[in-house]
Amino acid sequence: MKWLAAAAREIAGLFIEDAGFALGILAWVALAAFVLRELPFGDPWRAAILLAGCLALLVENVLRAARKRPG
Amino acid sequence: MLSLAHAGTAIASAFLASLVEAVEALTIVLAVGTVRGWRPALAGTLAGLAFLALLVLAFGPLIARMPIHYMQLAVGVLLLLFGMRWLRKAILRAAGVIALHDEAEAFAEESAALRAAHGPRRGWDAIAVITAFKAVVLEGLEVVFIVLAVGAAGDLLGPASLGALAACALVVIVGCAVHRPLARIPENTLKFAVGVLLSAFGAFWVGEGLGFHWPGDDLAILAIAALFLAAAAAAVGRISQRRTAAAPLARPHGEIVE
Repeated sequence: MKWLAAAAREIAGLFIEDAGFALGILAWVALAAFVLRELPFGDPWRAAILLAGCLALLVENVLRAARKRPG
Repeated sequence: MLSLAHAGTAIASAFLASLVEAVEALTIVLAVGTVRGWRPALAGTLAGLAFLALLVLAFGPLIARMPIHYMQLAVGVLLLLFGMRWLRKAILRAAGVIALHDEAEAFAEESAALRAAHGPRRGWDAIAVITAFKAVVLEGLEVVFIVLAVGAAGDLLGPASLGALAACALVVIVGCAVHRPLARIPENTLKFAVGVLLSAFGAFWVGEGLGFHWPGDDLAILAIAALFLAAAAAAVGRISQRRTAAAPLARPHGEIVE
């Protein structure tokens, strides 16, 4: 069973390195699925907001990670 | 019909990701071959490649059978998690926050570990076979995921697999020719590019899966990739600027000047 747990850890590690970052992405997609879809925006705007959220999550996360590890 | 932009970015993602991972796997296989012998190194490598091929053959058709919107959403979310993880790490490496991956160092460490390991070095050298097998499977799993995700979601499993195999073949040929780890490959630049492409695919498929319309359809992937690249480059610039501004304040022995 040990090897199965190790394999599961390896597979999870493909997608999750910083748990907060991964949760943020999942939460943003969930928000897009359940809230953004219901808002009265035109079609290109929904896609643009989805993308803007992803970019904001990425930039915020790397800037925070860099602040935590000063050179 | 899929556009050239879509097919081209899918094949490029598989090729570049495979190039990076094959370089890392080659380092370990070279260490196994040099320290414990080439027969177990090759046996482990071939077994690993066969296992990875089985995964693609087993899961590729399964993913393609899922209802299209669920498949796009599921693959999109996984690609976003995977691609943005790669891109995050590449940004932090490019900005000097975390160290770059050093193939020569990895080769030295693996060689030392293999020399220290006990077990038969002639005949059936299980340690050597398993080390080579694990290296190929662990590095290859990421390539398999990329091939399955960009291939199955875009009906490009064959071309994406060919892109990945071409990169493997290239690394093996160059590796055999130079007979040492490919330390000069700009790994982080490649990872940066793959991270950008996979994140763009992820955002595109999530949008499609949720029923959002991207202006320009498939061509939007290129625009999304350009925006991810611009955001990542801006983040690298900002972090580097901050670190440069902070550096003169620190004396060599770590004392901070007020």
